[in-house]
Amino acid sequence: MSETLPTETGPVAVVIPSRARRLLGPVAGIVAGLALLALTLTVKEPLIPTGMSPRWWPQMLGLLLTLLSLGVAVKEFIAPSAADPDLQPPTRTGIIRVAAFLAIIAVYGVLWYFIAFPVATFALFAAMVWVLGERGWKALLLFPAITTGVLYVLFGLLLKVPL
Amino acid sequence: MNAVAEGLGQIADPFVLLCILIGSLVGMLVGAFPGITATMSVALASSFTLTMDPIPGIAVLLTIYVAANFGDRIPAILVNTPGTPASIATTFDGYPMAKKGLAGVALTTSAFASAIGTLCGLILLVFAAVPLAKVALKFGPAEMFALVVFGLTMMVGVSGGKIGKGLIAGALGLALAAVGRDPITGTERFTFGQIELSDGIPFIAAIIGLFGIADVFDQMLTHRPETFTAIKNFGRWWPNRSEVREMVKPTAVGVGVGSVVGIVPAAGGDIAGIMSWAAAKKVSKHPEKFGKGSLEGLTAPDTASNATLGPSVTTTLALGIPGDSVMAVLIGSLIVWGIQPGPALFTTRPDMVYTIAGIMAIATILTLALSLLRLRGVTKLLELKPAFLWTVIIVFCMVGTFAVNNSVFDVGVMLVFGLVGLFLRRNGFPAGPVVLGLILGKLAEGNLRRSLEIGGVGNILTSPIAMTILVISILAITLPPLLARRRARRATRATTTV
Repeated sequence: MSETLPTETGPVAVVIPSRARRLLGPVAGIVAGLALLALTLTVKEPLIPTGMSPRWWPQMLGLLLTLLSLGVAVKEFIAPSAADPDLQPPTRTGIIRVAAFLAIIAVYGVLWYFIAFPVATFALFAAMVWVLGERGWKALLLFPAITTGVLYVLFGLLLKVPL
Repeated sequence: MNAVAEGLGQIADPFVLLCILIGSLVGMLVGAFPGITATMSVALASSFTLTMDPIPGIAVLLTIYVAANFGDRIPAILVNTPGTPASIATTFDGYPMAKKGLAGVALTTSAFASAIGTLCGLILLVFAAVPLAKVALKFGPAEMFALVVFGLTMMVGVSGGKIGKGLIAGALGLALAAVGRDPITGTERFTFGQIELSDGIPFIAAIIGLFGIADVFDQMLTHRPETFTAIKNFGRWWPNRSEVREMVKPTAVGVGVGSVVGIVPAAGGDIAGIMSWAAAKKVSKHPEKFGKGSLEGLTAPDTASNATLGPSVTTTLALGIPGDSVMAVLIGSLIVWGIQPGPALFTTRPDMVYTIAGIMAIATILTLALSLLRLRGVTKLLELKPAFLWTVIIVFCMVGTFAVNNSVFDVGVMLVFGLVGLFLRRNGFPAGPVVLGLILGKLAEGNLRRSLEIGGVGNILTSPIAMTILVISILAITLPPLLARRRARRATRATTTV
């Protein structure tokens, strides 16, 4: 849920997270803490026993993470819903764009193995800019050509990175 | 004297000077773009500076750090949008001044205030770094562990009203640092057979993901097309004599507040700026002008936020505890270069103090000169579409991360951390403590275990220094919510009385 708050510079959209939404972070913290506790059992003990086991520190952290997350979860469960001024609500277009970017990056990762870096990177820039709604030869041809060129000269030629 | 000559001699190299020039230009530009923070740009730059020698690399990173703190004032004054969080308080009086037709004076005043602040902060670096490092050199494992806890709790304490979430983020960072070899026995932990993880999670990849990718994805998620009108009428550029006199007191306030805030681990320019604005208002003869275009209200925060830079570097390099989030990124780069920040660094290599101070001083003067160029063209730059900026940042992040170790695995780690960072951000968890935990985790674990193995818990409890630091750490996270609750209760009581 979101609403707009009046500010000095004009209305600003803010998020009023539901209880379930507020519990998402702390619950993820509890899962991470418990997973860490479980994973510590896979750590091999040294053949020559030392003062403290290598499992000890991650176990402490797993416990700490679980307890802290549990505390925050209880607090979030009890607290009434309030607007979070630091969080702006995501837009539908924004979600689609981020998902499309992730897909493009995955394809780029595969392409990089098969075709030359400048070609793959040119295509990557063009695809990303297209997803962001830019059209026209300057955005789809000139911009990718210039930025790919800069990247290739900086990393490939000057810094000798095997691209 | 030898250390001074040796330290300054290292920056006499033309290549280092070229790096400072490039860093200044890049820093000014990234600072001027709202949405690109100094932390993000230093993280991004660290990916390709790691292939350079340490001194030119440090020169690029430190110069971006300095210059971004100049450039970020431009959008704050012209479009009422801080270029980085450090210039939040600049908008309070900078934009109202620009609206009054005094944009030129505001930009010039801001540039001088920033330069004076940075240079005063550097004096503290030159004189305090080595003595501080010498004191810290006497610290044993118990004190070093307490110092790490102090750094973490300070970063959590300044992360707004989200102490619980900040602590979870810090614990997560420490847990992530447990990946790789155990610091005492060398036993492998959580590597899942991946050889790339035996030295731990790659710092730079994780940092770029958390600060670069996560930030861009968050902006993409929430971006709404908006039209803003940048101030076009700059008016006169130079402050007159009475305006120069008016700047003296807030400059002094800014230097004082900035130096104190800067030395505190994790507290940066944003906090110093706001605190200094409030302090300058209290001592001003015209507090009623604050927020309405007061020159004093512009000078104090700009001086303060820049005065934090030198002390912040002092804390970072002398104690090994990051002074702010940019310094957390810098520590990551230094470790990769084989330079371990901490008490031993400045005591064994005092010349480093002068090299770093020299780089930052040259960067300040150069950036001041750049800032004094008539900046009318910047308005056009501010109207650049974010689409181009986002694509450039994401692709630079990917190629830059690959360049660190020529490893596709690192790029994967960066993307995973980008998504983790996005999840954390969307759920109100600060990313700073995760990075700090990741960087300081091994130091915390090694020192705590050594301390406990030497003399048990008593080893910590009987150390006055460790206990003092730990008590301050506890206060840092317990006091802010208690004070906020007290203030809220007072406000409620006042409302009901009325």
